[in-house]
Amino acid sequence: MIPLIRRELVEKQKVLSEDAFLEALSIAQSLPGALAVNTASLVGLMIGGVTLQLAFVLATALPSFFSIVVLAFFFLRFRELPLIQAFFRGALAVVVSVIVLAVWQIGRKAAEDSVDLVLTVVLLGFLLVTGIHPLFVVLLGGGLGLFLRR
Amino acid sequence: MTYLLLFLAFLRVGFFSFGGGLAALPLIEREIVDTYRWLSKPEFLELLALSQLTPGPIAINAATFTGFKVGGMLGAFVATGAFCLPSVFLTLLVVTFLSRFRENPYVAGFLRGLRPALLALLLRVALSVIQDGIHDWFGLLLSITGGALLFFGKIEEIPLLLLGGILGLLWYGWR
Repeated sequence: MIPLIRRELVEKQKVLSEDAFLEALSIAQSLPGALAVNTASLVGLMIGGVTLQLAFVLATALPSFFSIVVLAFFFLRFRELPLIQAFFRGALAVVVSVIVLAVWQIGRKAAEDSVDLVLTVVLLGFLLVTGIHPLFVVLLGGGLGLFLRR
Repeated sequence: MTYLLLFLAFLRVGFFSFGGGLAALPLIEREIVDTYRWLSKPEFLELLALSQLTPGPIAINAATFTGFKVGGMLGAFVATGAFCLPSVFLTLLVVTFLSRFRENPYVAGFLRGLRPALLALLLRVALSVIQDGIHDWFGLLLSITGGALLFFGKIEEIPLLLLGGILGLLWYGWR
């Protein structure tokens, strides 16, 4: 979705400079939420203020919204059918490959030093053993960063 | 009441889902499977598979799907809106007041510190899909073969998922 936003606003409509787009993208990456929504929201604000921001966010979320509503409508009716279950059992096995590979690819780049590795193991252990809400892992990681990485 | 709970649950997800959709999955699972039981574990996994097959962000798909299941169109709207609200609010805050917020040493330290947290969440996701997504030797075979094909760039994700589904249909369907 990000390349599409860039092509439309930077190349075709020319309402945003390349630099401004990259700035928006990097801010979007450091904020929580879906990357596409954050980016759309930021470029909307940069180009035309709050009204355009809201319009862009809606325009980004709506296609997913409607396609998932339609899918959910049918899926929730037919998911119990043995054939659907058989399909999902096979699909899920390769979802595992897709996700494990993605985790490997992101993880290899994200861990920069031994502090990262140690903290990752500690936080993972904490998450698995105590069963705390994952948002506390986020807060704990960020909080430790305030002391260790400032 | 359900609408309020949906709103608050996805607001929490929206505020804490740093680092992309995959890292947000433990948060989402916690809210919709563990805390509120809006989706069963198998339904959550099926939602994951459906999300991989559709182009939109995973968290939006999860919000819309869960909201729709629990509260129809209005539920879907409330959950999806609640998830997007922190994005709208935080981007507005940054553009209006904090255009240099990432140069602040505290913000930079916090963001840098998120890395191991996100890695821990990602590993948690990998462990739980391995545990929940593979039930027998045929699944294991599919998963390893699919992983190898992906790793060596022999197939794209969506064709692989469809292929996995069709093989599942053939293998589990007639037995």
